Amino acid sequence: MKTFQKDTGQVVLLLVLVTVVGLTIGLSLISRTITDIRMSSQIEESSRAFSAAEAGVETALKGIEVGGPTTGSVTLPGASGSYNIAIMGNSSAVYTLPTTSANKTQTVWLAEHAADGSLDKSYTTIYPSTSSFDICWGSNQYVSNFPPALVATLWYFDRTGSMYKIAKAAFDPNNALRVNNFYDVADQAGGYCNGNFQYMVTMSAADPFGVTSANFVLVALRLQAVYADTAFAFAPAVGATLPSQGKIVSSKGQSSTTDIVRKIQVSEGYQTIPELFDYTLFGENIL
Amino acid sequence: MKLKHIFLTYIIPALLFVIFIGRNYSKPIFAACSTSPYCSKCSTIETYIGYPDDPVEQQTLNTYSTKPTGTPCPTGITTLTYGTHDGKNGTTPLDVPYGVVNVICVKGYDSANLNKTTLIDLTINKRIVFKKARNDTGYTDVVSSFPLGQQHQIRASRGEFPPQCAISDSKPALFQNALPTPTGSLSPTPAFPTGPWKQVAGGDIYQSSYTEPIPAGNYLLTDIAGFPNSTGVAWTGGSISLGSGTISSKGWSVSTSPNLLSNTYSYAYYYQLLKNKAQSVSNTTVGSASDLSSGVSIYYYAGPGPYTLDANLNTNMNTQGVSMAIFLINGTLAIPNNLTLDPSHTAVFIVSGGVNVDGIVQNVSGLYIVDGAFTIQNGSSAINVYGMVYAKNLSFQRICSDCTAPMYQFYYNAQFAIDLISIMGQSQVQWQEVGP
Repeated sequence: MKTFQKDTGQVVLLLVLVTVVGLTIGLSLISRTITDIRMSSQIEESSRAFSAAEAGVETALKGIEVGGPTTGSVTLPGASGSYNIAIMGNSSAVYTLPTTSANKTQTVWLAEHAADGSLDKSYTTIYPSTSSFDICWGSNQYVSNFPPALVATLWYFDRTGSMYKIAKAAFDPNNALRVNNFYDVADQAGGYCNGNFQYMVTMSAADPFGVTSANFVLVALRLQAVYADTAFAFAPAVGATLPSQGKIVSSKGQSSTTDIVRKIQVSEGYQTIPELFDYTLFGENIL
Repeated sequence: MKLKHIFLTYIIPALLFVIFIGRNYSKPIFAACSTSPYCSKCSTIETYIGYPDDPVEQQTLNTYSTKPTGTPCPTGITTLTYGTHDGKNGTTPLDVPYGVVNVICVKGYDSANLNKTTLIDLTINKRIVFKKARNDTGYTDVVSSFPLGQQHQIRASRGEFPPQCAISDSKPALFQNALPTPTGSLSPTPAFPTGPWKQVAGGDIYQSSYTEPIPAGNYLLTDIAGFPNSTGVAWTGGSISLGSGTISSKGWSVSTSPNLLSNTYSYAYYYQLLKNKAQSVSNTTVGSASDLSSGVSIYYYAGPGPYTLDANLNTNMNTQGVSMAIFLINGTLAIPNNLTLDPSHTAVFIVSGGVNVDGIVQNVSGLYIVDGAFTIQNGSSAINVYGMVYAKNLSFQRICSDCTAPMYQFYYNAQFAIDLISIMGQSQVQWQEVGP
């Protein structure tokens, strides 16, 4: 009789244990499922927000082409977006251009553009033709025997002759090794243009380009990366303002049902021509 | 003993001699280029320049001529210029006075036969004499009596021959280097002989290599008059050899070696970019007044061509009120006459084939993007190109009587670059997601 009572208690205990374990597993699965569903929902809402932000960018870029508004909004199923178009450049601050592959060229506009994005050939708003500027390039990590070099081409408009002209200058931090006869780079200590660049050259139309005539306007500066990839930066002289360089679109998308927000920023420089057009003669083979 | 003596003295040497001769003569001598189906694959056009008959010296990889005495390109003296060929064109065996130049697959074209459709059988100027070299080195031509300072084109080998063309002889190594074998005591070479040479005013130049003698004191790159410091950079993937001349007053050069640059902005690129804005034209004359329209800048010539540039393009642009014209040409373009554009005009020719500038043309304006060859055909006048030329191949065939001045001058035109931004330019767009 005693033995029977002992056995009965063990069964109940086992049942309780099994129930607890089963309940634990079940609750864990339910919790995990709920988490997965929540995450999926968040991912979906985040995607909606990102799509709304992208839609805002697309709308803004299309508006730039046709002279549309500088602000606006878009609505998608389950999300909405808003965008703002700002001017890139048009500042006395350091203007940084994106990383440029070796042999490729960036354009810094020294004359203002019209509202439709075309070059304003009245040249009423220009970078002062007598002001200097700093050109910086080479990441601070580039300290090596193979740093990028720079070929700079100045486009300017000679009002007297009513014609466009060019002047060129070439700089290489390691010109001795390469024997390319490029100019020396005096400033190689690094930390230039907001501390982000290794090399710097201070230029003006007069030096090194030798443009000293009285009646000319600066149109653009073409910066070509040589030997290695590099970003460039343009630092205006004190008191000088770099004209606008393009547009920056900032777009924000938000899910309608949550507080999830995604933001995209797109910079679109003014149109320019590729590096090929810096050549006068380009022949891959000589017959 | 006697038998052994006879065996060692006569039979073994005889057997060795037979084997030796047999091996030599079992190799093929030069194949006839005119009959070889592979000749076109192994041959390129080379330029020969005639000079007085002094010892031979190398001009390019595999062309040779006698070096000049005195000032370059004197007149009135016949010359000796060397080339070789298959020896199957009725040549006369003779000795070679100055070494052997193993260039084969020679075909000659008369200067009057600019389109090179007819092989002249190496009878340029009807005064060429072929000479046969030593039998053990095959056949060598000695081409005589080129007018001094004038150049002729001969289709010759470049570098190593493919086996199909080869044409081997008993000294196959000579095919690869094709260097002359000097005899006697040659004095050090004086100033490098100069033929027609090019000069680029303003802007950069790119070539895979430069082997272009320029007279002493002259530059490959120079300023445009009135454009200070417009001299650009000489880019190359190979070597720069300018004879007695130099790159520029700046001396800027960039070597991209071992990489060669190529133009990605081709006809196909711009066709895709511009086709939707282009107006199709069905006329084999490019730039006719009837085809130009005010307000239209892009014209598409679909083919099959060949096309010829209207001699009155500038007038037509004025008449039709067109200041900028971009011609997309799916074919080849011939420029038979001078083309001078008003300073306010911009003309761009984007050609899928080649561009052939006639030998009489002395002035050409415009920007040329050419997927094939940009050819300046044979003529005796210097030519000025006011604009830019971007081509897969360059073939300059002018001859010079006074080689002290550049025969080809190219002038960078910044107006073109500025004007074309609105049509051929593109924006650089950067996307990035930023923090909320």
